[in-house]
Amino acid sequence: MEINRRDFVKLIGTAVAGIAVGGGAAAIMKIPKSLEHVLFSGPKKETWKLTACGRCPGGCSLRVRLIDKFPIQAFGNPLSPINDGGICSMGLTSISDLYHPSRITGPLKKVNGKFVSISYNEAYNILSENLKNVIKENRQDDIFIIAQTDSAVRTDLFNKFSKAAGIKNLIIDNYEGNSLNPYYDAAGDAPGFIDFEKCDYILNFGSRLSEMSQSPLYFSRSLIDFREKGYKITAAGSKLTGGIFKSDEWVRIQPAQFGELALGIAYVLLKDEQYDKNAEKLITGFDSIKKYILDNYYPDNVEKSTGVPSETIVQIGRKFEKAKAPAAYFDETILYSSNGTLNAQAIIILNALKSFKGFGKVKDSFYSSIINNANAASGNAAFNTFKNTIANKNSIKVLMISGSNFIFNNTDQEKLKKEISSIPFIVSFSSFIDETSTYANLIIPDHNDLEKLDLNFNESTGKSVITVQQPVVDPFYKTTDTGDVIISLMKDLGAKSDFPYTGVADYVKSIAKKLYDNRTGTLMTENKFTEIEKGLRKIGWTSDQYSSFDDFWDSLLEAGGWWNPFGDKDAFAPKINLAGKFPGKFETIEMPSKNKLTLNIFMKNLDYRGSMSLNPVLVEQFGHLWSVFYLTWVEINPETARRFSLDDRSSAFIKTSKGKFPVVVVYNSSVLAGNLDVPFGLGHDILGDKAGINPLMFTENIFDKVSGKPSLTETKAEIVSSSSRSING
Amino acid sequence: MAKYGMAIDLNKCNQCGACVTACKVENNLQIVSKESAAKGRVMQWMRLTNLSYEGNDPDVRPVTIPSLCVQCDDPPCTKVCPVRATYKRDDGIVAQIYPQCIGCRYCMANCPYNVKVFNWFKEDQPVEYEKCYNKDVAVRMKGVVEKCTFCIHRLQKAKEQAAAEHRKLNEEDYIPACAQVCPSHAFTFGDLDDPNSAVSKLKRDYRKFVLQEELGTLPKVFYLNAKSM
Repeated sequence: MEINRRDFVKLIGTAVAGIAVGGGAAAIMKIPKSLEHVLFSGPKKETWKLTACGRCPGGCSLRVRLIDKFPIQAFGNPLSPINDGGICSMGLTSISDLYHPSRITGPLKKVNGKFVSISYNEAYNILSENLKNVIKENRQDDIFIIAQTDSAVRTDLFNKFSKAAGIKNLIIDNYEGNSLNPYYDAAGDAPGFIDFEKCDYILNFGSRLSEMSQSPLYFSRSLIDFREKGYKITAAGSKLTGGIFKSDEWVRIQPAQFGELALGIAYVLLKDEQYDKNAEKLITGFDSIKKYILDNYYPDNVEKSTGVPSETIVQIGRKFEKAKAPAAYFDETILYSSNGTLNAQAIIILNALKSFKGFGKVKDSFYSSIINNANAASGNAAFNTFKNTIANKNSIKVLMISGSNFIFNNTDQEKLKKEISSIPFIVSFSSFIDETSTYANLIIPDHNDLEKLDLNFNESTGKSVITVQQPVVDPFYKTTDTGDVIISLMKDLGAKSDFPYTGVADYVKSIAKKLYDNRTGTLMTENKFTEIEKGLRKIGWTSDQYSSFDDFWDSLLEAGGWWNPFGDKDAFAPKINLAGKFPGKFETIEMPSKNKLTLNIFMKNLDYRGSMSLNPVLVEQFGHLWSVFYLTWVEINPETARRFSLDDRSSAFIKTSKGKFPVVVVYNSSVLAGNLDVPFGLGHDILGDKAGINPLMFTENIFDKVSGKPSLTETKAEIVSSSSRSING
Repeated sequence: MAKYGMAIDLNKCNQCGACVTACKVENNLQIVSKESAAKGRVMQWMRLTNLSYEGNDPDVRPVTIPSLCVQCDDPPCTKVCPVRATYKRDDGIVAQIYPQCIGCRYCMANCPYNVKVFNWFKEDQPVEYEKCYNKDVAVRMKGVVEKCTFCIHRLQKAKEQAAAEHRKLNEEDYIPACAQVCPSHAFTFGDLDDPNSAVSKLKRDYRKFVLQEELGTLPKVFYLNAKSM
């Protein structure tokens, strides 16, 4: 657009009028009045603040660049033992969420189907009254809380609140908790980390360690180092992702069959008598499990059901038995199939046969000592309980939703929408009106991550690391830290509550006080230590001197975190008791073939919950690897594509039993013949301009029976060419 | 005078795309509309290019490289610019003077690496993206060719900082955004004229290769082959 002088004068006039009419710059720029003068007349001074990224469980430390108090960029903190200066796409773009125009600016109440603004006090009273009314009638079972959070502090607060109020139905959707729950169910304990100092072979069942895991940036580096040492990684999975092609060997298999593969490998160890004899003590009912495996998982049988050649199974089994400290790894990703939890149990048995030697635990873990919720990370109910309750028309009186967009993330979306509409009171703490919060009666929006205080605990490096998420800017809007709302409710409702803290800040400081008293570890101000210094530290010597806790607290905020590089580790060797759970019945999976296509939905790297496409940079870049922008694509093996007369970059429709959706065809010779690989994450229809399709809407309602996670790889599909040719790409 | 170059270790790169995002946000690249994207007008100075697949089933591997301006020592683009808007600096960086560019796109046509992009329109930017503009980088006007500059604004800032502190510019003072953010440290950046710099040492690595070597453009961005371990 050309702008001549006259247009320019007009534009300036309009802008000035806009400021006058709209009540000042804050109305236009949507910033707090207190910061108005800074925006326009500040000296443009650059400052940096350290905080923690809250976009995944990774616990990366961020250096945020501010110009006159306004955050504009984020980079990785080079002194963090987790991210070592690196940062991912999600972290890089985390700042723009702060300024997102669709952020809810204050509490909202639904009146006649429309949201209207109300004060925080009014919103809080509505919430509190609704809860009190149900609790008064002793109907706590009619209250459900669904919270998606990777924060240990928030998880702990939800646990404490539900305990104090007598609410049994707390569902915490937490990556770490989901990943470790099969271990807790089987052993009452879970591994802390892969012990890279000992581990000499990794057998990875579908986890995308360097892309989407408990600490993707740490694994990005450590897996390279692992292979540099000459150790091998075997990865099993249906798609050649970044993590899998960096492995030494790829076993092509549908995720629902991981368990059968694991038991086929266990067969080799048992038959060769090359398992660790300690396993006989570790596995309750060892003899019957051994007999079950030897009777049913002869590699030829496994080949018949999974398609993995028996020679490959034997070869992997031999590698596993020869390794001194192998690790068969899985995480939350394994749950996304009909056999999810059963598969995880089979892998746990395989690990037990080698006494879990590839794993370790942090000795005297500060995390466990401070926040004693590790074995209840997923709350005390599964999402399945919620779905069964509303499906059976049982009365749910109150539903509290924090951070979860479970309608977007599930396959039975229409059913869920219909069913939650019948719940009389839903409160959401969402920052956006998304596919789920749109059904709320009340919204009390949470702060942005850059506006709140939290602590991120991470032990995946083998060391306790605590990264401080501190506010780098004052809250822009009338939002409230959900943790503070929960603490207020705990005091109002929890007669039995002995929680002495007044708010999140108070609680977080109390944890930091324990760090101060503990005096182990050090601030995150250096990440290299000499052996002499390590030795001195172990016997109690420290160069860190603080005159008071306040002095320590200020230093902690300035350093952005704390870690204990001097701590020791413990072996992880729990007793496994799967009585009544294993062996279960594996669902028979129909293999994809040339004639029977399967919809294989994959998550983009780092996009854990399909929220990536709410960010304008990330939505544009979503398909950049294939130069497909703002559209959903299907990756298909060229041979399969040609059978259906599909050209590369042509338009097509994928049909399932639930309907059809448009895709751009992308040839990818690494895709399994018969698989239609479609990304999850696009297709938000509530916020702004819709880009792409949410394939979960077209996925059959197949779930893991224990965790309730939807299967992403078992929907039968067809693909047909559409007449018009796509010009994208 | 330093001569800047970059090594990208394909053994470490796992296609996460952090470099692509970092380039976008560091240099205030426009986000384009769906319509412009459909016409192939997405603005990226750095992208991941899927070249091919190697190996036989089931050991197939994608050959994907982060591609950016390779900062040729003998750049074909500068030779065809009628207004000298693109030129090679003494430190080897191929730079672009945006106000001088007339948008003829000869340089794009003559670039064998297809890494220059044309700014077709001034598109409305999402407000949350505009608020995060990097204040060190001017937003380009429409009608000009854009390209990677090795984040030249960072070099300028680092030089000023070093001068203010009465010291020489150190190697760690200046690093482009893509190299800074890479989670797996696949990028190595530095002075190719300094035989002791990390990037110089990697230039002598047996795995080193450059794109389209036969053209004789002498790229200063080179790659290290993914070795089998």
